[in-house]
Amino acid sequence: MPQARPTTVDELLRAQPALWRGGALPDRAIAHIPTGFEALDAALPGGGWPQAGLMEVLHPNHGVGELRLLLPALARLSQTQRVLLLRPPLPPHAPALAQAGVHLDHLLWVAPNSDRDTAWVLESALRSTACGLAIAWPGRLRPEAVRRLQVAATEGRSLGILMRPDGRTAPHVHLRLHVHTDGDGQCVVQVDKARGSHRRPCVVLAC
Amino acid sequence: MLSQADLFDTATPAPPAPAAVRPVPPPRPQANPAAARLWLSLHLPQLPLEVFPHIEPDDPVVITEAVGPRLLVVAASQAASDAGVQAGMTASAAQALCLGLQTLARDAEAEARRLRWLARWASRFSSWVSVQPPSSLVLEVAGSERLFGSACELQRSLRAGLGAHGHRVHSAVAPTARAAGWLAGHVGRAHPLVDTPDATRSAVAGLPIDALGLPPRKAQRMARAGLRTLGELLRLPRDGLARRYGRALVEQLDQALGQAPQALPAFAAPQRFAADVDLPLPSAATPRILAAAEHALEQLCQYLRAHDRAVDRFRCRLFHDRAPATLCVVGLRSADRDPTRMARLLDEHLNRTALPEDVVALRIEAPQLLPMPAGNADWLDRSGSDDWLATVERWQARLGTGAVRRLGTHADHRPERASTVNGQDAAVWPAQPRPLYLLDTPQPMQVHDNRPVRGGPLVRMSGPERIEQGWWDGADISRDYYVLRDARGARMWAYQDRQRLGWWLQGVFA
Repeated sequence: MPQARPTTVDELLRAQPALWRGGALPDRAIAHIPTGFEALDAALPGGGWPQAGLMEVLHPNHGVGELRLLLPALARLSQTQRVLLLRPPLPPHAPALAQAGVHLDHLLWVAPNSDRDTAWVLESALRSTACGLAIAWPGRLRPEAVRRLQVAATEGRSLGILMRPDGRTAPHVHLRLHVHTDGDGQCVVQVDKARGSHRRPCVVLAC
Repeated sequence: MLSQADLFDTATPAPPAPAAVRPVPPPRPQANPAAARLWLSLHLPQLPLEVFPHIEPDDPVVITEAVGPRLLVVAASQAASDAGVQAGMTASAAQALCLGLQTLARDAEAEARRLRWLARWASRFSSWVSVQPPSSLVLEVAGSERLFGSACELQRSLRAGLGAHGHRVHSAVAPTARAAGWLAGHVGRAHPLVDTPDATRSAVAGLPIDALGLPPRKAQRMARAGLRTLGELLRLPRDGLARRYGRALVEQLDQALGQAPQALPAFAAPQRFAADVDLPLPSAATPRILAAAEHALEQLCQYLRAHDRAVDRFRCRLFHDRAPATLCVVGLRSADRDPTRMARLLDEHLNRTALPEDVVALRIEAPQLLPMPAGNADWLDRSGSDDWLATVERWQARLGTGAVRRLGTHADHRPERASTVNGQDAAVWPAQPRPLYLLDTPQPMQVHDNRPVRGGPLVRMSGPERIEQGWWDGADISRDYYVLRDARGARMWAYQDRQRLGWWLQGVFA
């Protein structure tokens, strides 16, 4: 029995499994971590932060919600894996982390003195299978260093988040976000780059 | 001509051979007849001489020791003995007897060190070794007998081993440690072996009074009383003996005959380790140095495994041709004996260490050996990840221990005391919102129209939350906390101090 012929261009294209269609969100079966914000999960490919890879958070200044955005994922991963705060610009306050549900026993705060050491610590953390998430303020990173980090994160099945208050960006990241606040003080997350999707959604978070 | 050993041993009246014993009264009933133990005593008569490495047998040398105002000979070399020098004579008498006699001061420290080293060596023959200063070792050999064939065989191997190390040995085997020690010290040249209580009694009875090592005055008193051998002592009534010469004497005799227990200090293997390795070629390249170091670390870990020990830090000393040695101290997060882990940490240290010139040799030292922990009860390892532990250790090695911190909460309402670093976690925290960043010291804020400003006006988002605390420990605070937002959208945690009157910025809601 002859197969029903496709009638529209769209159906014709859908019938081609080898054809990748921009705009289509990739399969949710790829491991992702829920961000803790429904609107953001819906906007991101895979429905959350990539579980293994590198992402960048650009924020114009401290205090716009750049960490609040990551706290639910940090809290979730800290239950089962090791998490890391690497060279935060100011001392982290344990009660706030505990309030968010972060398992403090699994959290380490590492404070190297130089950009080079920071990159080295981050790479070894990401390479370690015990580490689930490392949030780092790396300062200046050479492109090849970012590439190494990306490979390390993929191999170690861990997520590395580069915090970029200075606006520097690197090409080899899975996800790049731009975080700022609107006039009402709401946290606005603009997705600048998401591997697997060409969409550039913008989400306002109530946090 | 008398041999040196003859001189040494016959400084006292010649003891009869252990076989030719005088008649002794029948043995008393044994307190502990099942003497399952057998002790081997090794006596090193020439130890004071043997610790000096460069003495030739035909050098006329004596070792002297100051006893009160007099300088007495404690050991004499073969050449000096041949000239008639004996242990116990004064140094000036020895000088008169032997022309060109060289006198060396006794090195008691070196003797003790040597004896400890030999005790370690002897540990391979018995699990129970005791050092008996100044010049004896005692081994429990009943357990080793089967392993080495017989006590006689064991005695022979020990003598051969010590001979190979350049030591003259007198030995004796007896059912009690004290009897073995006495026999080795006085008739040890014949290497007697006694293994029954009766034979022990006979052998001990034949020993001279000097075997007791009594102070000279007491020995003289005994000599005046006509007592020359232990057998004569044993024949005397016990209570009279105790009254005249002290209870300790009777006790020693009882110990020798196995009728009283004797406490012996067990020799513990030294709690240190050092291994030297030469580099095949002088090099400053880390991989080459590391390859040599791995060899030494392997030795260290083998040693640790053999002694069921672990280390939590070790030192690597790198030797150069001219420059002074470079020292690396490597700390481990927890006591361990894994050479791979140690090598990895050393690698980290070497990469950071500036070497003045090529390394020719290195030494791995473990200054302190610890018991191997049964399990890693470390806070870093609660989820059982050695991989993570090793990673964190490398960070600490490279960045310093202070750079890796663990956060904890503390039950205190004062925000600056509510967060701890590397402390205990109280697992309690306030219900009110707290900022993710807390400044080390609050920053004073500019005030305009009674309101704080920071690069423009600030919008109040919540507050006030009053915190009044600490009047009891002198660090009391009274503050009204507000969450404020600046023009760029940054959320801050600031307070109005009710004591100092002013505004301070203390945290950031990142």
